[in-house]
Amino acid sequence: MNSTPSDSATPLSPEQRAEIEAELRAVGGPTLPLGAPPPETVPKSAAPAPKVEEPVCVTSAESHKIENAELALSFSQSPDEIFRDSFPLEIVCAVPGARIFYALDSEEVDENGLLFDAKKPLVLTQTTQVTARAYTDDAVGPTLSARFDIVKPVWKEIEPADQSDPTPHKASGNLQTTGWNIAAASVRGKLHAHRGSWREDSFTAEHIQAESGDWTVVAVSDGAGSAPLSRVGSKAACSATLTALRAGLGTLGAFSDDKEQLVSQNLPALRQVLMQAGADALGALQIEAKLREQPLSAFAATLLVLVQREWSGAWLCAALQVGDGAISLWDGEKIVLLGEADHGQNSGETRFLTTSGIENELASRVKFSIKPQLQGFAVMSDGVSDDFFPEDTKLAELFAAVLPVVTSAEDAGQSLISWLGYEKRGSSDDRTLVIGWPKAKQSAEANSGE
Amino acid sequence: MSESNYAFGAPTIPIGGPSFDAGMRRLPVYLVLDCSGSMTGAPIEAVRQGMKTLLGELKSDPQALETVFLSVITFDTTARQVVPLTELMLVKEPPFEATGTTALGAALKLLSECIDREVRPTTPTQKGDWKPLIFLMTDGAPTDKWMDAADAIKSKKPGNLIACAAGAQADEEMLKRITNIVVKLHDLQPEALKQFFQWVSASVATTSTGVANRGDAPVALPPPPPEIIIVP
Amino acid sequence: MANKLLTATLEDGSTIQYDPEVIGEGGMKRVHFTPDRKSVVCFFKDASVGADPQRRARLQSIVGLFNPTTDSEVGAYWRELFCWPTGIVTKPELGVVAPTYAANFFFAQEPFKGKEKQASWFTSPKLRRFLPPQELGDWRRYIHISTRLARAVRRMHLAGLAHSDLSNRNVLIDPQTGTAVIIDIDSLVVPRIYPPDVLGTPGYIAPEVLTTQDLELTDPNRNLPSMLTDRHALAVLIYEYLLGRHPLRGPKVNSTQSAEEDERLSMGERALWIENPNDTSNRPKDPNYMHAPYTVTGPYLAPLFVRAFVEGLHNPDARPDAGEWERALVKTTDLLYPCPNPNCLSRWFAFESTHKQCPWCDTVINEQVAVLHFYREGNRGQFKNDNARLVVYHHQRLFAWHIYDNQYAGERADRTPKAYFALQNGHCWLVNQSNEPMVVVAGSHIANKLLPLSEGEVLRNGSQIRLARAAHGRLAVVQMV
Repeated sequence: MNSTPSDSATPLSPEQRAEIEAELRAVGGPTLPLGAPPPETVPKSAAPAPKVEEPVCVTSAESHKIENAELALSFSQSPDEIFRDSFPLEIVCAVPGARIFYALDSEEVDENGLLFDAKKPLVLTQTTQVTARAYTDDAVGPTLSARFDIVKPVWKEIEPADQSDPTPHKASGNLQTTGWNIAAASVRGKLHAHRGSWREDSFTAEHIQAESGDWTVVAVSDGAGSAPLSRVGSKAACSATLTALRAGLGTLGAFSDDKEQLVSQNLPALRQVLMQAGADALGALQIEAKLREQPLSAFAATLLVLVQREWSGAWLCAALQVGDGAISLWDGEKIVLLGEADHGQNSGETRFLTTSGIENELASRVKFSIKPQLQGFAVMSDGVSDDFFPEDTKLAELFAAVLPVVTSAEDAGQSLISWLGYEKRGSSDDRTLVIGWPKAKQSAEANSGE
Repeated sequence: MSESNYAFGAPTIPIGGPSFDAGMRRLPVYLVLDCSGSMTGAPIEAVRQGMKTLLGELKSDPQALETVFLSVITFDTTARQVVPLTELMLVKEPPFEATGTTALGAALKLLSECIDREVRPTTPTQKGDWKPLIFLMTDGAPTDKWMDAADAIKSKKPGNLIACAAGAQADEEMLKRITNIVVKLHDLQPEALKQFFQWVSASVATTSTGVANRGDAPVALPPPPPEIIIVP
Repeated sequence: MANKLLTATLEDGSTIQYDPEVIGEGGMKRVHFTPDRKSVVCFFKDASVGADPQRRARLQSIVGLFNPTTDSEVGAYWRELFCWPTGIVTKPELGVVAPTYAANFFFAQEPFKGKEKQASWFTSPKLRRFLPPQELGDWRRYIHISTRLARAVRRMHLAGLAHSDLSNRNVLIDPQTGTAVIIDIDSLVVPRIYPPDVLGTPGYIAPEVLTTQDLELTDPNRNLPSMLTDRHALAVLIYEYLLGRHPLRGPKVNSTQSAEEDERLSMGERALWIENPNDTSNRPKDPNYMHAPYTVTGPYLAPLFVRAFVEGLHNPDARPDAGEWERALVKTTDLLYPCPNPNCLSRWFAFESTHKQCPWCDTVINEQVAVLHFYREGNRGQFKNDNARLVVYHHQRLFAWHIYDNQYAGERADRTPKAYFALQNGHCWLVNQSNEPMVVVAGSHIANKLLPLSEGEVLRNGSQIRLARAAHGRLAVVQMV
């Protein structure tokens, strides 16, 4: 990949993203720059020809009207703001019953202007000068005039010029495990589409049945925007993780039903399996780097792993998280986050698998949770979790929005792709979401009508 | 699962437009179905298939989609409302199991309660629902005390009730005690039950527009196929 | 499973083959495909209908005497608007042969693949939610659909025929292409000769028909479907197409006795337009539902709605006829302007100089809009306002019916563009595409500047352009709004 985006060496923080968007607007914005002169001014008389039978304009009796400051107007929006999209504008007069006339892209208005209808706010779709004045039968208010700037980011869909290691712009999948349905989807972010770069997220999920239990495992990896081969890195990390989990969970012994034993013996062993998965994922990146004779940093990617099984009627979940994104559990009421996103701590540096010394942090990055009630789980890249910040409360909205979509769809993964197309201002990263929800219990007894 | 099944998502285009239910009358449709032990095997399977076909046909009929709300009541030893009165598009096929005896009286009692609870009356400020359309199907003689419930339904006339006596065991004369409109299926073969459900869906589709111009006259049913005989 | 084909005999003695499988069943008929699927053979379900000699005579006059689709000049045009029967079947039973509807009147995609595009799919806010977005069409298409329907009804009435059951079911529409087709022609009513055999479809039956439905058929006060009741149904359909709501279904309750009785009164004796300016008791309360009042249909259509639903609701003679609707719709086409908001679902609206705002999504129009006011030549070079105008947008076209005051955009119209408009560098140009030169009478630097083929002129406020020098050539006066 030769056209590396020139953003900073770490993935984008929200502030950086805002900066890039501003840059984008400057480059790819509307061809009409701000402050373009209004179109050629023409006399505004509406009566075109001598023999016209159209209603002739009222000759303004304005000179006879007294200017009354009480007829002052205000706009429902401040013109100081720069609008990103079309928006409705209302003109408000303190005096009820006054007629409000307005003009667009003009600094003058009189009673031949357009009459404002309070039931129909003016929806502006482009930068517009709005001038308005209120009239009563004998008085006229001061003129109110302001320019409302609308600057839209124009997102393009560009195919990457570098066709090596191609990755589809959208991917989805479905999986059924014992007691659980899982749907996954990943879509290329608007920023990548606009710059003609590849989607860098990757995901995987599998049903692993072993002596240690009946496991549902999920992994998501987000390639760093600054790393030219991070799409290769994220894919390799996911696949190595899966291989490691198959082997690790396959060699663990059966779990004890006794809580003491579980905590003292089984969970530490499970921690080792997850740490090994993280280490193997890093190893896979190192191998890719050697084979391709590229620096390891070119493959920088995050890793989020969730493994889950039933234990004594509850759900035992274990997770490993390196870098941004979120691993969350939903019990129908509260969100539990298994892991912490790294942004903002450790001297402001975002962590990746390739961050030096990460091996020593793996142990502390493994988290456990046992939930008697589990209505869903979700593993996602920061392209999704940042839109639900703060995650510990806002992710409940994600479950509320997504579960009805996936449970009613024939192809849940496919429907998740559509859902991931949601519009949110300032959200332009790749988005990946793997979500699980329990299968409907076989309802043996219907409610009796007796 | 991995990223092997690639697909392209459909663009999400909002379909706005006004929503307006105040002037929209609903046509409540109640299906009261016998699931007693004698339905075991092919007949109950035919009921399942019939329900599937019925929903499929109604869900693609514009008039039905606009007005029909559907409820399903099943009965064996007891009676239960397996689908409460629900907007047609949201109705999912209920499970049917054949077991037990034929508690017709309980079913009629439950039907009456459901209609009282779910059907909106016309008031000075609210457009009420159309008169419910009720299809009752049974394959045998009732095993509970059903006569009082039958008389109550017949005198109360909660809606247009069409009773279907399915198979040789069903007693059509007994059904006459519930309603004047009784039809008979000669056997419980899948083909006959399929025809019955198709006829029900045709009746609903017709009625959803046809009721309006007939005032309080009895509902006009489409001519039934040969498998269904109207009992005079 | 290949079915063994059956054979039917037509009235002229010829035979036609048909598939024994019944593909559709209406209230009165059973329908079969011919092997090539280009036609259908329909039999009357009720044997007594088939035996009725009156029925056969009616069919003969519909297929023969009153048939507009066999006209050598414009027959092809009418064949698009009507699914008109082409033959009468005499054996094995009485029936008709009719063309299959064009493929675009069936949904091509799931979830409703193969279903007929009955209008209610598109006019009911509830059902619109279930349709793929590309099926919904834009407002210009609904103007086109309405125009075609009005034209078809006008043609039927011209022949002295009443449809008697115009409804959302008997008119199929395709908003993707803006086309409409009237089906179920075989129960047409010929006044005084063949009486109607249906009252109509609920929601489209004229109030006077419902009010007198309990009288004996022979009672002179009994109102039966006729051309006047067709006019009511036509107005209801056009109102539904253009505004997406029914004109009479509002919140007002007229009887608490039963829903059925309330409906009979609300559509009959006590029918009241939801937008009646003098009586607002039937007006829906939801402001979103009423966001676009009937006046957004523009200065030509709005008065017709008032005539149809205020003056004419209970006074059939006051209702606008189909020709009036057709002319008003054609003139409204010339007022259409594209909404600049890319998310606007209606995409087009009738432009009004006094508003400059899309009535559907409230988006304002920043650009100057050129409006051409048409004048016709009267005595001694005097020009009189023709009460017609054309709203200009990029790549709008000018046709013969704009240029000449004696041409009409009907079934015989010349549909080759004579000029086009284009926006360039902030100017609006008119470019002549015909061999007939135009003359810029006023507004150009040169007096009486000629505009021959391919020459253009910038439109300015107050410019006057004679669109053709020949007799009946109109003068256009430009207004920049």
